[in-house]
Amino acid sequence: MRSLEITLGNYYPAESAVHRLDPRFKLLAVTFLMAVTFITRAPWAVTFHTLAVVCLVRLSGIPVRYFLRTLRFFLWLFIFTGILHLCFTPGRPLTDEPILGFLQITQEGLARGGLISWRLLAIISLSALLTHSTTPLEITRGMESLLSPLERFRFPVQDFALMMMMAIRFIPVLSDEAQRVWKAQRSRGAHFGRGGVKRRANTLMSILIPVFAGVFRRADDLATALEARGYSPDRRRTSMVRLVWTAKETHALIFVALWILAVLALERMV
Amino acid sequence: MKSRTRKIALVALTVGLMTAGAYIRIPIGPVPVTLQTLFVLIGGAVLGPGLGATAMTAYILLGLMGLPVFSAGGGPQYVLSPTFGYLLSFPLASAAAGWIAGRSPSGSGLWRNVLALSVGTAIIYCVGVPYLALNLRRIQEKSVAFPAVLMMGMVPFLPGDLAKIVFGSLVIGPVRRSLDQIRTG
Repeated sequence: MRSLEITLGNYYPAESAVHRLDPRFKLLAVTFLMAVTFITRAPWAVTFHTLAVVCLVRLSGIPVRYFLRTLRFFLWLFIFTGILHLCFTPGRPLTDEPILGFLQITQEGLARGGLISWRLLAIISLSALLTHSTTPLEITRGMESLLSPLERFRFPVQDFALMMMMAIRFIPVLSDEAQRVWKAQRSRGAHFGRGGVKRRANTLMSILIPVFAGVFRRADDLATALEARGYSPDRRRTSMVRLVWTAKETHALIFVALWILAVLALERMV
Repeated sequence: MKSRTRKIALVALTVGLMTAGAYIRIPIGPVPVTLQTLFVLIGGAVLGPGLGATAMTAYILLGLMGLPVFSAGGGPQYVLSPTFGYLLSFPLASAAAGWIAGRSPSGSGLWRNVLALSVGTAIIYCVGVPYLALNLRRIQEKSVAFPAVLMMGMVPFLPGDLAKIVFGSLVIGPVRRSLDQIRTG
């Protein structure tokens, strides 16, 4: 299972203290740290947070280039935020003449845009570290365990976790199948973006209907296979992996607590 | 569906299919146009409101867990993205489409399907656009007037949505029939 997963998502396989931590702990720590960073406005607090994240990335053994590459999806968000502030914050103008005749960049805009984009980058890097150091399957296990109190209220936590694990397993299979249908129809002369509205709709339909039918057929086979192996949703399942709280989680908890206190202290000081 | 196991498998695989929908995209502006919303609504109409909403909730959770299932990847940081509101509306939109399309036997009225898809699309905007405005104000810390937000997050996509509604209402019937075929063996 493990070897199948590594191709999915941002996970980077490595042997590090960050990787080995209990997923439940990581989920909670990231949630708290994200919330704390959100309320920070002081540059020193953001600087501290950034340094802490950089230390963690080094500790995790994930190559910095690999880490940054997965953040490039969010590049446009930083640019968008930066431009919004640069151009639309009232204050002292940076240049005598407006750029392009109408855009006036102000000192306030530059400072504000810079700080807010930076804070955003700090928050995003932290949450990216979670998905880089934890496989989706581990996160599902962690969530199943954290949500298990909901079973008292009749919420089917176990069913839901199984469903997520099956979805993770079948995403590559289904996208392969969709590609196959697409190629099959193309070889029969279907062509996207050609012909009138009616013809285009027909092309799309000739792809979507077989894809949906394939999904239903596979789901049926899968359910039969599960039932044949004695799966019953009403019975309690045991797991091969058991999550336990050990000394390393305690150490990490102290680290995170100090981190939050330091950020809050720096925030207060200014 | 007969057993709960069958329902679990069906929902899990629908989530897998949603991922394929997210990758077929036409990038324009901050909100990419994808076939995804079509899958959300067809999924609801075919599976029914309960299973549709469950599938969409699972889809959002998988994305937040870091699987690259959203149109720009995945991870908990996606909550900060201006377009997360559209994703957030999927369970509700899917349930509404499923509820309106009803459980009548295959080939239920075309107009009923059109209504189901239109209401579903409206719900996506009712959640997505205010989230976009809130995101601009709170996360980018920049207030933008509401008409400008509408111009950014809704108006450019209306022609595409119209096409999706027409096309989607034609597809629901055949897709349902293929599910019924498997049910009856």
